[in-house]
Amino acid sequence: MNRVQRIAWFNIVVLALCIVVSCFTVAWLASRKGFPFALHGFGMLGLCVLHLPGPLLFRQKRPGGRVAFDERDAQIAQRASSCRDTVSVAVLLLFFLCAWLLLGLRGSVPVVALGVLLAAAYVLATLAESATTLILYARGIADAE
Amino acid sequence: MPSSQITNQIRRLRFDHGEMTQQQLADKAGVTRQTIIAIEQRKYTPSLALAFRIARAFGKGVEEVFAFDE
Repeated sequence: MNRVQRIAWFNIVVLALCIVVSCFTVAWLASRKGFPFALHGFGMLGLCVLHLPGPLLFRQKRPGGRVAFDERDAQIAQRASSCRDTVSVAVLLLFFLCAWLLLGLRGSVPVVALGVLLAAAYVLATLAESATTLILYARGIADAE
Repeated sequence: MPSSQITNQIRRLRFDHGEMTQQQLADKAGVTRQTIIAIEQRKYTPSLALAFRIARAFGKGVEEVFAFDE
């Protein structure tokens, strides 16, 4: 397992924990204070920033000056990045489409929902990027011809 | 699992060249050992430049190492 895969696993673990903690917090607040106050629990999505030190935790090791990142790694990174962008745009579009369908043309969305939306889009997009990275390393990218 | 249409003789050539290890070939070709493993298992299709570098590591032409499987 190389450095990129370690970072991807680290991202998945941290972000999955972040989602679980957020959902538990929302459920706990809902039982105590009810909705819509419980939606504040989604603030725990902010814990997703804990995945950012990943590249510092898993430093590049190049024993004997060997190559640590080559064209295959670059291709995988590029595809994972495309996947991340697609997911983030899809989440945003889906949110606004649902808001439009549910609230109508003259409806309004609370400002706090926009923050949660951005956090959720970031978490899902990063999860998609990490998952794509791991899948491509495991399955290969021979269909790239 | 995706499998490349490009077949190769890398594994055989490594053994023909004094049981060259994947790491030694990777060092000669300027890639990681994981990439050599992926190419051998047809999980990755190398770029033309890398195909040339691998072929040169064996002192062969590209077509002696790689072939298009129709």
